[in-house]
Amino acid sequence: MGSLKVGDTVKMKYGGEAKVLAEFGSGGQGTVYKVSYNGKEYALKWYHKDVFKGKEKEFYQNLENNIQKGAPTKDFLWPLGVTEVHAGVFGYIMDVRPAGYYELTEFFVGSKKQKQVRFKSFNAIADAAINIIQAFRELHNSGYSYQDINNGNFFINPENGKVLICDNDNVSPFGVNLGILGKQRYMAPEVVTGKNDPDKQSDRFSLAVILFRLLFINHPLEGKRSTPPCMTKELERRYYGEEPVFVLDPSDDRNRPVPGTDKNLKTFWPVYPQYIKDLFIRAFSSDVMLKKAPRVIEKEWLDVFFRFKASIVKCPHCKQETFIAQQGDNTCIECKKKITVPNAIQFSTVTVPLYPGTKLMMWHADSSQNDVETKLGEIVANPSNPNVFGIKNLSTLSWKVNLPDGSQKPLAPGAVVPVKKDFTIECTTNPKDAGKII
Amino acid sequence: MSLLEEITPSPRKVMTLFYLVDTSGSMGGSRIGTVNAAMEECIPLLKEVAAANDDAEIKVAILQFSSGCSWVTPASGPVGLDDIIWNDLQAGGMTEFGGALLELDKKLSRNEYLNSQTGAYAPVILLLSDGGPTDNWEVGLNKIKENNWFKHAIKIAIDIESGSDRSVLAQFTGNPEAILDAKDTATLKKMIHKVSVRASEFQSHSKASSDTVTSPDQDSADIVSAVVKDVDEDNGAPVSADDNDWGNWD
Repeated sequence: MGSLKVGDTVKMKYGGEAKVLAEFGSGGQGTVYKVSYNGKEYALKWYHKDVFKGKEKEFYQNLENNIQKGAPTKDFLWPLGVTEVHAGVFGYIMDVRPAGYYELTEFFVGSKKQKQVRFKSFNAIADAAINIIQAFRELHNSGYSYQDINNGNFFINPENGKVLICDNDNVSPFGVNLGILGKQRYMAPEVVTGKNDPDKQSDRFSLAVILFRLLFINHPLEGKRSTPPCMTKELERRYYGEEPVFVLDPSDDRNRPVPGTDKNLKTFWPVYPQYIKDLFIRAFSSDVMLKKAPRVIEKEWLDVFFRFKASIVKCPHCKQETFIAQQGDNTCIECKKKITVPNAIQFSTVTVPLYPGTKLMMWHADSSQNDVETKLGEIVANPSNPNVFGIKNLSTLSWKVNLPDGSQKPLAPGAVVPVKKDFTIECTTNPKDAGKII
Repeated sequence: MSLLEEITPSPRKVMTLFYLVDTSGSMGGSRIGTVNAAMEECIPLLKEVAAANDDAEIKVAILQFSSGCSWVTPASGPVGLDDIIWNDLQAGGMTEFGGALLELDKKLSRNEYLNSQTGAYAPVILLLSDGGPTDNWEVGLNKIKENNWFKHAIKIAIDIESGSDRSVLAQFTGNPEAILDAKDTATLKKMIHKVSVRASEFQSHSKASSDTVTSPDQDSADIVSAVVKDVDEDNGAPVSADDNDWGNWD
C-alpha cells in the first residue's frame, strides 16, 4: 500500500478504522490526509515506503511510546494513535489544525501573488515566543528532545500568538536518535559537522534561530561572508557548522548583513530592548554556538520575553504599540516621542516598568511556579487624572499592600492600588514574591 | 502605521531549474505533445512548492535544442514561476546536443544567468531527450564539465521511450543511476512532474544521517530513485507481502 486514496480505510492498532476523506499535503517523509475515525475528524500522517531505512521498528515503537506518554503541553499536535503496519507502511493520527494558524514559513516568504503573513501586534509576537519556549522547556523537562526544529514545524496564529507544534514523530528520549539530523539553516553547528547527533542542546540552538526569525525575519547567520556565489555542501558545512558568524556579532564584523537585503534587521534591531538583543548576541556568539560556553536555556529566554511582554504599551502620543524598556525616559518606536515612566516594580528576579497597559504576570512574581499564563495585575490610569497610575488586582486573591510607615492594607480582587514609591505589594500567597515599587 | 507592516520577505538564495528539451524530429507527435502538456501543468505545481520554500527562490530557464538551440524563456535570464508563459514547442531537425551544452555552459556564470545578490544554490539541470546526439557532443560536454556550476549541479536525464543513447546520458549526468526511464508518454508526464518537484524541494528537506556528505551525482541518483518509487506507487505496483501477512494456517 503506497499512497492512499479518498475512501481507503486504514486499520488502527488499537481497534477501528480511519477512513480517508481528503489529502492535506505531501512532504519528504509522508503524506497527510484528513481522515474520519470513531466519528471524529483527524489528520493522518502516512509515511512513504522505506523512509526509515531499516529503522521502521524503532520508529514505530518510539511513536507508540510518545503516544503513551502524551503531549508535554497543549501546544503540540501530538500523535494520538498509531495505525497497524500495512505491507511495511504505517502512520499515526493527530488532531486537525484549526483555522487561523499559518505555517511559520509563511511569515518569512511572500510575493506579489502570495501575501506574507504578519503578526498583528508585538504582544502576539511575545506570546508566540513564550508559547514556543515553554513548549520546548516542558518537552526537555520530560526527558525528550525534538531533534528537527525548523520553519515547517510551527503553526502560529498571527492575531494572538497561539502556537501549534507539528511533526512530533522524531521526538525521542534522552540518548536516542532515529536517524534524523534536522534541516540545514536550523541544525546546530555540532550536528552540521557530524560531531553530535541532535539532542536537547542542539534543540536550543535551533530554538534561538526560530526566536530570532520571529522577531527579525532574516536568518541570523546569513550575511556577506556566508553568501557565496554558489552555496555548496562544503560551504554549508563551514558557514553553519565549523565557523558560523552572527550577522550582528558586536565583536566580529565579518558577516554583516548583505546591503539591500537587510531591511528587516535595520527596522527592528534598533527598536527591540537591549536585554533581548543581548541574549541573542550571547546565543549566537562563537563560543556558545561552538559549545565552548553553555547554550541559552529556555528559562532565560522566558525571563526576557516575559520582561518584554510587560513592556509593551500603547504610546500616549500616537496610540501605536511601543516598548518601555526602563523606568525614566523612553522613546516611542513609532512616533519617536518621549514617554516618561515614573515608577517600576522590583520583584526578586525582574523589574517591570509601571505604565498603563503593562501586565504583571505570575512569571514576574514567581517563575518557579512554572505558570506562563496567569495575569496578576494590570497598570491603569486614573480616569479623573490620567497622570496618576494604579495597579489593578486581576487575580482571585486578596493582595497585601505594605506601606512605608509599616502598616498593611488588603487589596481585594478587582480593586486598584495607586502606584507610590516604596509600596511593597504581596500579590501571591508567598511574601517572598512581593514586588517593591521604586 | 505600525512597524510590523513594514516587514519584508526574508532574503532567499536562488535555485535555478534548467530544462534542456530535445525538440529534434523524432520528438514529433505524442512525445513533444506530452512534454508540452506536462510542462504546462508542472508550473503551477512548482508554484506550490516555491510558496512553501523559505530556503530557495526557484527560477526557471528552458533551452530547446534540435538543429541549433534557443532559449524558450527570455534570453535575458531565468524567470520566476509567476512569470512563465508556456508556449508549445514544435519538433523538427537534428539533435545538436553538443551545441546546447556549449550554450548552457556560457550561461552557467555569475556574469550571465546566475547572478544573485542573495546568493545561489547549485542549479538543477533536467535533460529530456529521445535520441542520440547528431553533432560532436563530446566537445560541448568536455567544455561544460570544467564549469564549477555544472560540477555542483543536480543533473538528471529523462530517456524518452528508450530512444536515447544511455551512455551519453550517463556521461552528462555523471552517474548512470541519475537517468529516468520514461517507457511511455504517460510515465514521461508523471516523471517530469515528480522530478521537477523533488529537485526543487531538495534544499529544504530535513536531513537524515546518511545524506550529509553525498556528492551532487549521488544526490541526483537519490532523487531519481525517489521519483521511480513515487511513480511505482502511483501506478499501484504490486504490494510485496512478507510471511507475517499470511497468518498461521497450520
